[in-house]
Amino acid sequence: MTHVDDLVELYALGSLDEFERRRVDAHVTTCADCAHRLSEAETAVAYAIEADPQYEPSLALRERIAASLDRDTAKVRAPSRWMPRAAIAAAFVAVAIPAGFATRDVMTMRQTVASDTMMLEKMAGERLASAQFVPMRGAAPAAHVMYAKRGDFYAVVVANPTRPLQVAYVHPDGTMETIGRTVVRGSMAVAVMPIDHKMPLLALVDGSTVLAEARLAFN
Amino acid sequence: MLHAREEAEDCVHDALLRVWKNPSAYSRERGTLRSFLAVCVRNAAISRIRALQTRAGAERRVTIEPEEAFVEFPDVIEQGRLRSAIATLPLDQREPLLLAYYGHRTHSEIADALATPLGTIKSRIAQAVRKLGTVMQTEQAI
Repeated sequence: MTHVDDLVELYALGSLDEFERRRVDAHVTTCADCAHRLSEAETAVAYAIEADPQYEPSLALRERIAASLDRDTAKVRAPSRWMPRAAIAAAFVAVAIPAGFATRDVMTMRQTVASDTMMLEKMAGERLASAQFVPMRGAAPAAHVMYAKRGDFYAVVVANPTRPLQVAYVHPDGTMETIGRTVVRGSMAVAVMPIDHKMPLLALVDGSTVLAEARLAFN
Repeated sequence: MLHAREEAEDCVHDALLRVWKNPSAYSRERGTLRSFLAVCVRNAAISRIRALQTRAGAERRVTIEPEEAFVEFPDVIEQGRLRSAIATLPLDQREPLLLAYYGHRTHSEIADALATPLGTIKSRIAQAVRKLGTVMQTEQAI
């Protein structure tokens, strides 16, 4: 197999021509190593994108996207077996829009307020279930997940965090998929995830180390 | 990038629809959905810039003034961590990266401006992206 070498980083920067892009697209579907390298390159570029000026998507844009997705829903299957429309839409709304109408600080503040508001609304509007994360190895931080029994909302709270952690969905076949990242807020860290999919097993991950797992029960 | 809200919103809309209609473009091996979408939107913006330039009949031959090639940190970089991470890059990697990312220059334009072979420029940009990712990840973990 011929790897695509430096092309993955250039792909992430958006500086390849159409032919080279297609070559990378085709290669990463069959090469886990290059797919992993591409994800690292895209993460690196995303760091830079997030430092760019950002602005809140307009109501008109949100409505336009919702209308387009509605039109397409009947014809197109979900993006993957677990990724529901709510997840892609939520992630999308949080993505930087490269035009520059407000500062990153304002965007961050709005996102923080929005996620806090969403969590409070959920807590006020319905009875959330809770599950503790059980340490898998050594010292793991005390953490639990509050979730809707319908399987459309998850909020992970970590006590006394020392660093941001990833939250991963453990698929039935044992593979893990990162679905969120905790944000440190004083003496706790929170990850609010409005994902519309029932995920019976979640993991708290630090880099490549699984610190703890939580088992969830649904209706 | 586009200096026009309507153009930017078109990019956001079109990029999401493309991912929505082509679900196999994203898989868990591609990392977080957020990073993936951020890159998709930026790439859509770059394509739009190129298309607008072509439509306008603009000559793609772009010259880069020497002083522009040595600009260090564009004002738009607000995040101190990113600024610090970019500062750790050697000059021969930092220059082409900044010209590619913030200047939206093609590899050939950068190679001409810096009087460096095209293959070397591509390699240095790739090295810069890898190092930037490593430094940012380390910073975030601290």
